[in-house]
Amino acid sequence: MSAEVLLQATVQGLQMGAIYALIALSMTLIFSVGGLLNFAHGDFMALAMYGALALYQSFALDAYAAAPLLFFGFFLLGFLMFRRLVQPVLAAGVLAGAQLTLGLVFVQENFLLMVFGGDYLSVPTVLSNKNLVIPPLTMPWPLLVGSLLAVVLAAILYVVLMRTDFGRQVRAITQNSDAAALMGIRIDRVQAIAFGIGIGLLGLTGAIIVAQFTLTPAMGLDFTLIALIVMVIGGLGSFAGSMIAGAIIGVSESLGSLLYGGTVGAMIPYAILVLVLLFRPHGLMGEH
Amino acid sequence: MLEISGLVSGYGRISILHGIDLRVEKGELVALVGVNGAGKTTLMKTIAGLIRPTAGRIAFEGSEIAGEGAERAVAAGIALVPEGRMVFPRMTVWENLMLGGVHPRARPYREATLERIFDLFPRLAERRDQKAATMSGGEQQMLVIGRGLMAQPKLLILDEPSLGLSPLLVQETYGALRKLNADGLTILLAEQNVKLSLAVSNRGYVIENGKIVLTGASSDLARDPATRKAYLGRL
Repeated sequence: MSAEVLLQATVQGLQMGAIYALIALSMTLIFSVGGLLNFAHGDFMALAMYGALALYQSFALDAYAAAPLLFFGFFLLGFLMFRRLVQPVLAAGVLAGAQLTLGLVFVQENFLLMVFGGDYLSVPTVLSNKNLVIPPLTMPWPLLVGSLLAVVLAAILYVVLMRTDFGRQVRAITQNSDAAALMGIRIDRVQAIAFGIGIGLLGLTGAIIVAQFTLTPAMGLDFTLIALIVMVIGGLGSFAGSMIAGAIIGVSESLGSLLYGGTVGAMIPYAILVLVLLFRPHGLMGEH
Repeated sequence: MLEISGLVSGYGRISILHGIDLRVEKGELVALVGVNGAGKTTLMKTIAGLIRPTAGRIAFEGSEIAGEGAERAVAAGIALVPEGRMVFPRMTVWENLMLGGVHPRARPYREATLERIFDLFPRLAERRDQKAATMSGGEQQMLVIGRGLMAQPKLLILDEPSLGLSPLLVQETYGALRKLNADGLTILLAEQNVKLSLAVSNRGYVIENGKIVLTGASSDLARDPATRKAYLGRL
């Protein structure tokens, strides 16, 4: 095996890792505001990808141009969902919340199956099937752009959460919701907005990576599992941890498939998860 | 300024307060004393809007705020410094203070108020970028008082500010409260430390099993045989 091939796989793994990290960060955001473990996380992204497909088919709108639209659409979806569905259900307990999101998995997958059918579909974009060649590397533009945007979005999310009043309110609710209420923070509203941002980010992520993937109604589950693994390995709530864990998972998956074949490659993230849980149960950079 | 009448409140179906009447006038420092479990914290939380009362009225500057929620209380000008400090542990001193003034009512004055708080508690200025969880109990107590002040309150309510503090820090904390009151801030203080709270306050209430059993000028209460027998004797 040549060094070029290994380098190629490593770069591709890092790029996938950036995207995984972003998905894990939106999952963390949703988890931290209301304690909801969103098993339908990847399915929302799949929904966004099909949304990009529908916008392309109906209005010839390119997925990259549709990205802001999908962000706002999914923000609204998340905001309303929190108010009408998540909040009442979470009042019955964390387990009820998890069951709700499992239900949403089936609702969304079957909705997609009903509307778009079970065939493999793809969304043509301005970047589809184009490569950037910097010898010895050949990088697909959709993955390159998707991963760079993912890093930028993660950085924006970091700044919003760490440096703005809104972000401080979100963290205050996470750390002590009674004390947050005493500050006059409208907890319900901040939670609904944060939840909206989490789902909105999935709308955006779906749009910017759709050119890299083949669409099938059940594709969401893989992303949910990867996001869960990255979230746990990185350490819940740690930005740096999620970025590092995303890179580790992306690269190990990519190199694993190259060296040992697809089946073994796909198992590696789970093996790493088990090892991390054994030796660092709070994750690589978890706080407690 | 604050007028409470016939207040019944508690957790779920269990009533802790059985008809409380209490007033605080503008500029006063009023003490609410009672043993652990008498209902002090429940009363403070109900005033601050964290607990919805089942009966009674809480009027603040003439408007009814009972059961309207914590946001309404902050908007009206009430800040509660809770028992057990309740800092935001993984945030810095500065971030905690900023959150204290995050309500739209207080937000425009944050920078100026921050200066005043750093004057009052120079230790907080030194620890500005330190995470709240890594500070001592006394420093955390200063922080939650500062955080309460950031809300620009007309009425500052403190629940057991002396709890778990060394005598020296208690003196320091009470010195700050006295100074704030002298500058015109109205204060309602709940304490188990009867001697100390009656020494700094103008008036006092004694609460027992969810009822006010004695009230009067603090100096009279401190001399009252009933208070002495019930509380001071045990100190």
